[in-house]
Amino acid sequence: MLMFFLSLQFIMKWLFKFDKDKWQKRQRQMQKNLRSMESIRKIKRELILFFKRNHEFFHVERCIEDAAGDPIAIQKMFDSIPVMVRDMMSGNESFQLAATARVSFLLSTENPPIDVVIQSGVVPHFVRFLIEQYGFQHKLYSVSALYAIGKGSLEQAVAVIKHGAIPMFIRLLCCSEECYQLKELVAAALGSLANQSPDFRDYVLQFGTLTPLLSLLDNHLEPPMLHEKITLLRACSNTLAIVCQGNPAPSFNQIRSALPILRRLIHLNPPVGVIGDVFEDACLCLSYLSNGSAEQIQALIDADVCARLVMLLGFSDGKIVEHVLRTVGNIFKGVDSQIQKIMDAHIIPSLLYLSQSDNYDVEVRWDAACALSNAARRGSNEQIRFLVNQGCIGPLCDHILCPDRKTSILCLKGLKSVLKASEIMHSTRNLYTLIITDFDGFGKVEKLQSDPDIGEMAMKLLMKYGV
Amino acid sequence: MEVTQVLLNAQSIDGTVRKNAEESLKQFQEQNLPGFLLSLSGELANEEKPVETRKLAGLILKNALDAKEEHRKFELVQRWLSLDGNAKSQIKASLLTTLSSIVSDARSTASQAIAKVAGIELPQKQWPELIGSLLSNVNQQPAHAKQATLETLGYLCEEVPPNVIDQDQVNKILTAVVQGMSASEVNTDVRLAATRALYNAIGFAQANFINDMERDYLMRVVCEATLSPESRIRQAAFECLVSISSTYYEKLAAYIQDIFNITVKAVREDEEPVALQAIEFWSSICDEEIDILEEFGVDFTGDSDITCFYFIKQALPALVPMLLETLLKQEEDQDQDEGAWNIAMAGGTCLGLVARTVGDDIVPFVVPFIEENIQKPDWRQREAATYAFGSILEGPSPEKLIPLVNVALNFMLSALTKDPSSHVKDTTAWALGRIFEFLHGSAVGSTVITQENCQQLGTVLLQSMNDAPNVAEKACGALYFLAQGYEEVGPSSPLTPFFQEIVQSLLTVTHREDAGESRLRTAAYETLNEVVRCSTDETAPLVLQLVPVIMMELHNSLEGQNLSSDGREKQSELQGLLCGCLQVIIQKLGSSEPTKYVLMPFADQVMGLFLRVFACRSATVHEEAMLAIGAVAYVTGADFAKYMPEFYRYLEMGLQNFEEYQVCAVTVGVVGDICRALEEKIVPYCDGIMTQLLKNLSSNQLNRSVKPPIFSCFGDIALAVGEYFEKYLMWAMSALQRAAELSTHVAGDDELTEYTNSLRNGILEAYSGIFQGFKSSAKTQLLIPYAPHILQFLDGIYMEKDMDDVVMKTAIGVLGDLADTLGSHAGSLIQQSLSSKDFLNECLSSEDLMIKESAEWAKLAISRAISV
Repeated sequence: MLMFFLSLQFIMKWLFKFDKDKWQKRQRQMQKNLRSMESIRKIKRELILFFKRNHEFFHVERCIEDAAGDPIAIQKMFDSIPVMVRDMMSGNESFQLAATARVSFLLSTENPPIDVVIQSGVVPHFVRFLIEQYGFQHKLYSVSALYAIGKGSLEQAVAVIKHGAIPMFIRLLCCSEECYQLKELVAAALGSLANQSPDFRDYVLQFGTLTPLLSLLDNHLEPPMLHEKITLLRACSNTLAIVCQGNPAPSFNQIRSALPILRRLIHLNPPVGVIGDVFEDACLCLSYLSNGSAEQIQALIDADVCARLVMLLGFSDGKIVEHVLRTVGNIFKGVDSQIQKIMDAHIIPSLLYLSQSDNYDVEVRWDAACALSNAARRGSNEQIRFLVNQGCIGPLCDHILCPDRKTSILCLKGLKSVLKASEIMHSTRNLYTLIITDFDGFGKVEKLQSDPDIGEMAMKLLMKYGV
Repeated sequence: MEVTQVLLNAQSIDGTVRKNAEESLKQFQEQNLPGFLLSLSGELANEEKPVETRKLAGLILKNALDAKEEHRKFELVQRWLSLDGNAKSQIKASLLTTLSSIVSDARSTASQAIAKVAGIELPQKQWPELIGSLLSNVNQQPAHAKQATLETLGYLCEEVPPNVIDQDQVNKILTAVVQGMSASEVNTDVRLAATRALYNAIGFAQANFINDMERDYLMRVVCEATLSPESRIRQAAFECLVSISSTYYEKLAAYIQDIFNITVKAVREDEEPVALQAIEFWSSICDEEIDILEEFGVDFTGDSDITCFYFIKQALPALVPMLLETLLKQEEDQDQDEGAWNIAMAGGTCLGLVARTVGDDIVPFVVPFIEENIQKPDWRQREAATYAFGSILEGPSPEKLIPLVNVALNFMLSALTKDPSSHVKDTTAWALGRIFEFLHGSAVGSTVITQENCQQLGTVLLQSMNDAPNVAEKACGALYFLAQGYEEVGPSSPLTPFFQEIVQSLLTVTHREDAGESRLRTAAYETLNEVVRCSTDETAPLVLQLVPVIMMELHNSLEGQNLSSDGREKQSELQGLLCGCLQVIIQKLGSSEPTKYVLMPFADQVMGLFLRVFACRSATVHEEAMLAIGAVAYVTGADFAKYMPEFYRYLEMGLQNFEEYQVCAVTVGVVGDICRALEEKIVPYCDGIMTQLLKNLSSNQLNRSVKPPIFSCFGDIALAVGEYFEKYLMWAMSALQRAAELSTHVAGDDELTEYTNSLRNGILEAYSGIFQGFKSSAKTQLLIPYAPHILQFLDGIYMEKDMDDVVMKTAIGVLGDLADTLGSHAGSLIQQSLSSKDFLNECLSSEDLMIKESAEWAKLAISRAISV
């Protein structure tokens, strides 16, 4: 029995993985069971020696706290990187931990010595410290170091990937223990790697990052919403948004599984604070996912998001409205049935309203106009009739001289499409020219004739339909 | 000087005369030692002198050669060795002459004195002719001289280690002894002396026991002697058999059947002293077989050089009935006499050992006896049955025993309350205690005690607290083990509902008028302590309530004034029990944060009481109070500083107590406790403490067992005060260095090796404490000059190859601490040392987890030291 108690390092190694709180609890427990003063003495003496020998470990937090913002202390720590490297390569976990913490701290300072750290050869050790046997704190410091390196230049990030960090990260995300803080950091680290380039992003996705990310989001949406739970959600949603974007875009098949969760996320209530950020990330994701083929748009519609999207256009948060407008605009690029689906959700009044609203940034008005233009360009004649009846010619005319060229062009194209449809539908007289004239549409188009890109289109339109 | 008269006066009934005589003897000795010893030996040898003076002269001579205390003995040995050679020769010649004196007291005293001289001189290769001259004409001597010679040989074998006498001389001694023992020797005294001499010589007969013929002969002679008409010879012969059984177990196979027959006869028919030895023979065989089987159990490789012959297992069907018979031979008053030892008790003890040796196999042999006797009207039969049952509870498997216990338990509980015989109740309570000791507790995982019968058990045991003192004492013992079984029971203990009642009953017992008998009061406090120790968080408030109660008891014990010396002794004993109880309570409540804080408010009062306990005595301090103060220090932490001004003088007094060295040792331990509690606040007292500790180390009078803890205490102080230790560094280091030199290059018996290892451990703990205490201070360079010696010391003990695991672990840790603190300053030194190579590698591949850990620490520290 005493033998067991005396083996402090053994206890720390296998039972508590350097979790200090638990360890202290255990220490109290074992003192409770000691029977004689003599055995207490023996243990106390061992303990003090143990504390002294592992001074580095027991004082690492204070040492880092003291060094923060103190350039001399930081420089001193920087100079001792070789000792830290040796400690990390040793078999002593408490020294490994203390060294990892120090290096990780140095990497969090203003001028992180990323290259020095990479050249010292410890990156594989950081990765190694992510395996089961090491404690929570140890993993946290290691991930944070890898995160810092992954945020560096492309070449620096390569060092992280090269030593197999990604599969270890994913294992951590999957682990059954809660450890929100660690998972948050891992999610962020994966995001920073994916953010480096589309190649990196695809690499991250290939290892199956999405599944644990989505299940974390899925599992942590229930109350109580503890702070650390919310920040974990945010890190996951942020990384999710990162892996959904980029040019070239990721293969849709790799990310379509996100849709059910995104639908849940855009129903979060109330979307304020960090939850608001998660919400916004979800909207952003939808805007990326909707930007693609008809199949992709169909997937979105099948995910049953249209009605919610219409509701979201009434939100006061301009960012969210902007992302939704992009999504809607993308859906309008789909086939007739898809356009019909969203029009049936009574989207048009909201778009008309937004195209003229002063409540948001000007971009919202433009995006709303673009969305209407997309509908007008891609919709069937019947759908165009519906649009015109709803009053969408006004906004198109309003924004035709928009300082944003893209909006301007889209509005011109939209008008052209409306006029074309009218030509077919109204054989005797192009009825819609009258409405356009009412909004001084042709007058505005006239002003575009000198435009180097679209001047010709404007001229043709005037010649064909102008009064 | 007319020594005869002085020696006569020294035995006078008149105190003044006696005192004067003692004084002049002392003066004589101091002024002229050789002359003094010569006249003593002359007196002893002189047939014309009165027997009393001859005897006293011999006695004084003998005492001038040996003493109990280690250091005194050493002085006397040195004194004799440096004595003038002529004088020594004369003294020895006189002694040898005395062996043929017709006065038996003179012969006997001379025998002992010769053995003492031999004990000093033979290991020094002096007096080589002694054995030869003793044996030269042993067969031509008259019987009385022959007897004296044999007696001398016996004493000699007792005094001298076996390796000192060469085989040739051993053979001669054994021949003389065996001749003296043989049936052809007509003189009883000679035969007795020879038999007793053989007892002491058995350890010398290693080679003779290997030789089949010689062994057969020796065994035959011993066995024959067990049949001698003289009972003292029979007893001595059985004592020889006992000694042979433990020394030459592996050679007994051929004789065991005969020995069995002899012992059975002795147990059944012989006088008690002989019968006791006959039983002892089987107990000794059990001890041997238990050891062998245990060793075998630990180490399955089976390369142990001793095989088990399973003598007990084979003898079981005949041995057990014989032992059971003895159980019926109780004495009427054996329960009242603490030192009682009789054939029934020896038989029961042996039965217990047999049970441990053979395990389950004993059960079927004993159960019928229990069943037959347990309900008989004669108390002897009921008691014997209960005793038999209690004796076999250790050894057999729980699976085998639990069904029996389940059947017996209720019967036993009712016997404990209702049996008319106090003997039966006494043994029943004892047997219940054994049930709880071996068949109850989380380690056994048995179901003997359930939530339901626990209540009943508790009630019956508490009821028995009112019984006769011997029964109540056994009931306390049973309760002790009942409580102990619930030690690791978790948050809730089945004893919780009766906790208050148990405590109350035990306190009541301590107040019984007759609590002084059968050590009842002590047992009650021990049980109370165990109940507290094994209590759970649930009952912490009740334990806390006990604090003021025990404090009040202690307070009351301080009131008694003008006590007689007997009264004072009793008072001191009671205070010891109360301080011990408070220590346990403080330790218990101090071990968890919440209860520690509720205990805090009592600290001042408790300390006040302890200081008063100290003040009660003038010259010495109270050991238990000292220990309890150590417990207080852990509870109060740095706040203990406020008690130091008053407590310090007692601390110093304790450290100065060389006579009662346990007190000194306890105090040294408490210094360590206080260091850990006060940390740098100990500084103001360090001068005094360090001075005293250094003084203790250089004293020859202090028992050596206190020295290793003193060294460890250096480490504790250094860890507490850090670089402030600089002040004492030089002194401490030179004391350590001297001790370190003494603790390498020692060859000796197991006891010496054990001591050497504890000394090394103390030294090493001191080094570790000093290095870690100085670590990351600006003064680490002060330690650099000591590094070469410390590394040499480590290399030295490594090369001795006799260190135990604890030393190994501590030693390799010191290597790490040295590297850790000195860093690059010691890099190359360390790399040159043997310790950093072979020793470290050996430790790294050790199977002992703690050694391995220490070694890994050292490896890391060294690698860091050389990486900078």
